[in-house]
Amino acid sequence: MLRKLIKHEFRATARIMWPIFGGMLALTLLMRFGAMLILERNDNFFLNGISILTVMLFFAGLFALAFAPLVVSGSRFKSSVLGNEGYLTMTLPVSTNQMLVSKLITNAVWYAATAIVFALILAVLSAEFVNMGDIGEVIGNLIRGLRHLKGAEIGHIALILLELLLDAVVSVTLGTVLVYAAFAIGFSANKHKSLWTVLLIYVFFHIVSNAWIAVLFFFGEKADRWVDFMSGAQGMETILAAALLATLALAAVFYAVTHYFLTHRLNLE
Amino acid sequence: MSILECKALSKRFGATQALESIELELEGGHIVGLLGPNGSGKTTLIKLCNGLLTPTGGTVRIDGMTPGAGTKAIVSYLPERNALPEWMTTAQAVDYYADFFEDFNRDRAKEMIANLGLQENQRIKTMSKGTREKLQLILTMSREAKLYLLDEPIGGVDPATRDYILHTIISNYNPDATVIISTHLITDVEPILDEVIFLREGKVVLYNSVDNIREEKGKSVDELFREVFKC
Repeated sequence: MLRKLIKHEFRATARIMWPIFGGMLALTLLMRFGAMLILERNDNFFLNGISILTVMLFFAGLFALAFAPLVVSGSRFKSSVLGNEGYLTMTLPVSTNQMLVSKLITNAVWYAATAIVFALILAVLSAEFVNMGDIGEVIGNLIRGLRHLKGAEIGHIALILLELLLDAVVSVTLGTVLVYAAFAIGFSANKHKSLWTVLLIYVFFHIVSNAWIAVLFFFGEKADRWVDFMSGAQGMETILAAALLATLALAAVFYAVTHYFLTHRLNLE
Repeated sequence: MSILECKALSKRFGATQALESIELELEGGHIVGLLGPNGSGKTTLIKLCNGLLTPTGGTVRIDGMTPGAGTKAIVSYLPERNALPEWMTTAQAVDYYADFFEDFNRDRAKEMIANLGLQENQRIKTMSKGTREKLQLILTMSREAKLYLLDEPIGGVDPATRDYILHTIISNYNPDATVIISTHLITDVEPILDEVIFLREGKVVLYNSVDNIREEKGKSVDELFREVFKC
């Protein structure tokens, strides 16, 4: 059932995400053309105006692209679970856990796709200024450098990269499940559902960010004791592992809240 | 085993007691009318049966199970509002039901859709309200479920559509199953009902077969309803 839920979740969100990706790549090409016109110091006021507008739209588009997976996921959660579609979604022969996990997996994949689109945008923008041969040389030097490392050092690098990847996945999951929890609680109210949801998103984000600041202060105060341990790969691994566990714990709390409200306080009226 | 069993079932929303100590035991193979005025608790009872609400007190069992993923596999639910995603086409909606419900009869659904004159690639968003309701009903009744919960299936549609809906219900439900039809339009549904449940202010005031009501009271269900719920 989880596979089917993921399939339909992708079907429902792909019709929004693919046009966003395509539109952003098209805007990138347009922006490159616009930027070229500006650089050529064209005297045509109209063309310069269009170029500047294109560049501004491009940067606005980049900002929107960064938040697109979260906004699409939140909007999809609201319509498919808490709106009229909820009468169908919540009566499917699946558990609430399966339903939530399918949405989180889909959202994580869209975040990964967004990262790839950002990389493509960067490649398109820098193609003018960077020689592809230079990039090949850098990658080659990196691989040759890695080959000279000892086994343990490669192991540390691999572990750090894995932890960074897991941190990224769990972080986007935390952001998503935090929004889900706000919706689940906000829409359990009889009145002012959207207002409650917006307030809760604001409060939850502040709770999470303040929790991180508190943790940083805690470690900062004890920096002298940790400095020897923190230097080197082992220190980096420990910090990343601690960050991963903390993010996972926060995500688990918001997941539990979402699950509780969907199973005990669902209010489709 | 009863297909639906409610024991001291209650549901409270804040200060409002929507259902109070409901005691019901329904066997399979009957068409049951869940009748009552607006606000009597019909939709609340149906939602408790399909797991959209959790009881404040008492229990509800579907084929011996507490509402959950297991009961949702054997309960076919038609909500009072359109629940089909508007971006889907007719074909995608059929695929969706076929994917998740093992008892869904795809051939029956396609036949009814063709009889209705719907195009497979037509988006639900472009359909009229009546057509969406018909499509939703077709998908619901194309399942070979053990319990059908139809919440106000004929409310808000024209008389011809009402006849179509009632005909579809009668022609396509699993004969061993129980169909619960919630409505306040008694005259239209009475001809197809085996049993009736009268709900008033969250309580069951009557549960009897239609034949018994006619024999004992000498009245139709509609006449008895008007008498019981006289303002």
